Amino acid sequence: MAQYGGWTGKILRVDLSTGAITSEDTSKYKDYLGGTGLGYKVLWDEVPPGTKAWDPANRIIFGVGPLTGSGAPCSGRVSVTTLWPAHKDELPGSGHMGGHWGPELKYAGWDSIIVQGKAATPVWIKIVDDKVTIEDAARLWGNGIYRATEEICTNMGSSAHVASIGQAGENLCRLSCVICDRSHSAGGAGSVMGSKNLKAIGVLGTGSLKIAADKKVWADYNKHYLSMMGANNQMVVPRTKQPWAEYNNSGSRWTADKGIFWGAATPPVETGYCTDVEHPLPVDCPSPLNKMGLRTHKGYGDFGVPGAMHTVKMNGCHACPIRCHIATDIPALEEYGVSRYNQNTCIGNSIATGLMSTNAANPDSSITNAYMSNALCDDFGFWSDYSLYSADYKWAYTHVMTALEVAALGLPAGYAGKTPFQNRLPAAELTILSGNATATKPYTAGTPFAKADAGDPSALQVLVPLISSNGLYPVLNGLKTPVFAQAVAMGPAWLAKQWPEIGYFNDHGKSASSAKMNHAKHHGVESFGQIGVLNGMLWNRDSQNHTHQNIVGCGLPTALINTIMKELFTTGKSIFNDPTGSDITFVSAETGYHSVTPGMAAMTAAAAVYLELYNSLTVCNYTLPVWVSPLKSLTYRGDASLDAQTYSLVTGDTIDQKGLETVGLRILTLFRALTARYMDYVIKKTDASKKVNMRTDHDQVNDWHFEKVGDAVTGPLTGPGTGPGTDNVSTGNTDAYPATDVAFTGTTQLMTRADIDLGRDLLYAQFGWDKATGMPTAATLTKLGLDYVKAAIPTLIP
Amino acid sequence: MKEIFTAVARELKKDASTDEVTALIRKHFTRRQFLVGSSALGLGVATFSILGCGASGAGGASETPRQVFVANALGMVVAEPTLCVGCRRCEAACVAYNQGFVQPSISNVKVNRNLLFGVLGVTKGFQRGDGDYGNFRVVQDTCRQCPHPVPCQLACPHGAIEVIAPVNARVVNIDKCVGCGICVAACPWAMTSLNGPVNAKGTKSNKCTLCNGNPECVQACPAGALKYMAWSDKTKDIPARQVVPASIQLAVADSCAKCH
Repeated sequence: MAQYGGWTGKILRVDLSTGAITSEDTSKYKDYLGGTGLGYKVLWDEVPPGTKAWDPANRIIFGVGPLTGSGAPCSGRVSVTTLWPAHKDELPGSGHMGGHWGPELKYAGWDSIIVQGKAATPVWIKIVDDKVTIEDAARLWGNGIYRATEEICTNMGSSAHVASIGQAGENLCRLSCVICDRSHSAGGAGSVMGSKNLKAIGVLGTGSLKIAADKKVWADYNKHYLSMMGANNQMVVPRTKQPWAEYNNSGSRWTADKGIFWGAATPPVETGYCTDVEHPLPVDCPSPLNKMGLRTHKGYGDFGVPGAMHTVKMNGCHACPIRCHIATDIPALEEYGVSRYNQNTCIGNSIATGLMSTNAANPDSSITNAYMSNALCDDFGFWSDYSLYSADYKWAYTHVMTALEVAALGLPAGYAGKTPFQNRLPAAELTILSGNATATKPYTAGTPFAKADAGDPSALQVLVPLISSNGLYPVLNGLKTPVFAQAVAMGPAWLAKQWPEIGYFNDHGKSASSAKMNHAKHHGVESFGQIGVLNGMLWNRDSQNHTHQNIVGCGLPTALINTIMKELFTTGKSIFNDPTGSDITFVSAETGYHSVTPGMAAMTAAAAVYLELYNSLTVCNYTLPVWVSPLKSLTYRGDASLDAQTYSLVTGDTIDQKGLETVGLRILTLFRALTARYMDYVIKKTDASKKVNMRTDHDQVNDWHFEKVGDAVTGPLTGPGTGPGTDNVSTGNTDAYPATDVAFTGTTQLMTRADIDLGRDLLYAQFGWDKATGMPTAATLTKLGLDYVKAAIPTLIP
Repeated sequence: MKEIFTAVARELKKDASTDEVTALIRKHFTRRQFLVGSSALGLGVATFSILGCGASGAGGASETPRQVFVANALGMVVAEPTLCVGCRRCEAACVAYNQGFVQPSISNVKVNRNLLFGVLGVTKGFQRGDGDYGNFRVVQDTCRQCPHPVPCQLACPHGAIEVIAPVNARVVNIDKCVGCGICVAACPWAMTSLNGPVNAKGTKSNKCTLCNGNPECVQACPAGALKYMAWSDKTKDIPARQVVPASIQLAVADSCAKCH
């Protein structure tokens, strides 16, 4: 690999069972770039079907790629790939964190870390350049992430970066994450580290990373690239009407404006006009690029004026000019004995807030709850599952089961008239949680449920440690509620196996916001209808796909977005293309339901492939790609070839847009085969004569999306208001379909199953996958250099 | 890769400057052979040079003059921690745009070491201190471009740190630097750094050159938290980051005795 820039050439492997620390050549993974691509290849090569997430034989791959640490925009990411504990069958998945840990790993000289085995006692891995040691973590085990990080940095120096698990990961909560640099979390992977007795990985890198391009070319290219970026989610117009901007959009995260401050900075900082590069202002120093970091004020964007008042600054990842983490100062939190300073972004700010109410009398209630949640969840390492777990929690906490539901789900008749928590939790636990054995309101003051309902942030100081104990270990605060703790900590997919009403709610209730198979929707139908739905089918957790979401929210007029997407995906620029030139993007609120088109499928395929590309290179999909830009001179066009240009400049391995897309398709297709191989094993365990059909077994869509609840082929046929031909709106099940959730008239996003079936056909055609099985064809595997896949699973390849 | 640049990018482009800096260094070092024992003021090198001062035989520089008294810098990079968003694009730009690779550990603007736990570091408590594990205040350390006596310049046994116009930055002459690391220990603010092991072949010291008056770090900062300003003396105001070893202080004092 020495001929390339970007890569260091070495992969670190640590076997915690044997203590062996070895170095491997990166070149065998070059075709997969790094990140998730590398992770999938390691799982394919080394982890046979039947392996469980917490088996020592499972690998956890901390994957960085050729762009990580290069200084390219948004290149601070790490993909943590492993058998996924939160999936009901522990199929492969990955969590992704930003921060500075990944770049530091590159500067230490490593292109990724593969960890396998299980240490006999708790350990942490210390990496100082090429010196790697396994250290005793007895002192750290049982501590939160903050304390663990502090101790490791005391050992390694303040410049080191630490990726650690908290008590949630140690205690094998399936909802647990790895966190670096305070707030950057790789969701879902924490318990795999816990199962290996691995507390943390500390990295200190003093080395260099080669950039293949000439330094002036590289410098100029970076400025060029930055000039085409907008705000978080690549929103390319400001929120408010500003004199320099042609467009504005009330949903934009380009929130900077006059009168909008980082109110808790010392002194407060006015964001002011943060213009694009075509509208420089005298205050810009030396150019508008020097104010990009103020453009995205999510403190204001997410929490309004109280958020702006409590924002110290906007923070974020290595080399990213778009700052999306809200660093806050909320003095009131000190009254509860937690730090007044906390930060996170988006769902990271609401990991546990769904467990409680806000106090309407306190304008700061929402942000105080959010940052209490941060202070605890980022320390305990508890993961949100993109909020699906808290939606399920809220439903189990509040929903009174009807007789119809109970009968249809085959539950005891006595469950009717009570909530799932009341039905399922032992009386002793309900007493601890609510003050009475049946959790009947009013709850006793001072109990967790009473505090939660009152919007008292201290409720989370009981609930988060309690849940993170997972019911398996000595419970904190003297509370003994193992059933409750486990029910929450195992996550929606596993809970649904034990409590069928949870699966029923996820499948049927729009408010659960679950895309399929008890995975969160992120982003799905709300993001260009079928494009979002089809994307949501492909992974083994929430798709975490912002490729299309960033276009939805970019802020440009709908018609212009459609024009730009048609230029990208109907004119042959991409390997994903519709030569018939069909329309691609619709906003249902404007045009109502619109049937799937081949152009939609092409954009869906590109969205999926670019997600894997970004998670492999690694760069951030929370803001990229740059398919649109703020520049009027370019008529708001972006440049879909930027990723290939960045890769070529950093590595010297010159590739064009279609070439890089083909690499991305290789990675996605390997992931497809990997998933199929594991899923086939699970299916054959039940019936050895069967084999997996990815189209029907994997690529599912939850019922609430459809106008008809169930059909004979794909729809579940149990549960109230289900059955072939049942109208989804008129089922009368006002819980699964509360009135607020079915107000689709005029803004319908309700799909027909036939339309999604056609969407599958069109999407598979873009990928070169078989329509009947959703599996890559032999020809596709050959084209992508994946013949070894066919050799390994010949019966699954059509 | 010409085609990658739009008209917009071309407009934005400000000449990266290190090639010019390097050219200047080499030009003056060549020219200096004719200036032995004389002041170079007005000729681009704003110095007072004397023969043999503190130079070591091993450096092969004993016969060339070295600078002792140097003119003040004309500019400096000033950091505003309130605005720093901790992205470290400045560190990446400093090294990559000047040297063609990425290596934050030798960046001449230093953010990472203060990023998580502030200037005081992790051992001083973190929840209320500076840095991302505390109150989010991140201090970007920049070279003070010290007035005479310049600690790194006077401590260098090889006379390898010199002052060049047009902005009179204190610059490492990589032809003379042997990578001994004494300047790293001599700077009270730990602003110089080695790109490899001490005294190893190819190891050189790195310090801020001010990029010929157009610093890459300033251009790269997405929050306007670094500014290029007229020089003023910050050395009396900003607490030292490290204790300069007495042995180095003595060596510096020795050179002071030449004039004082």
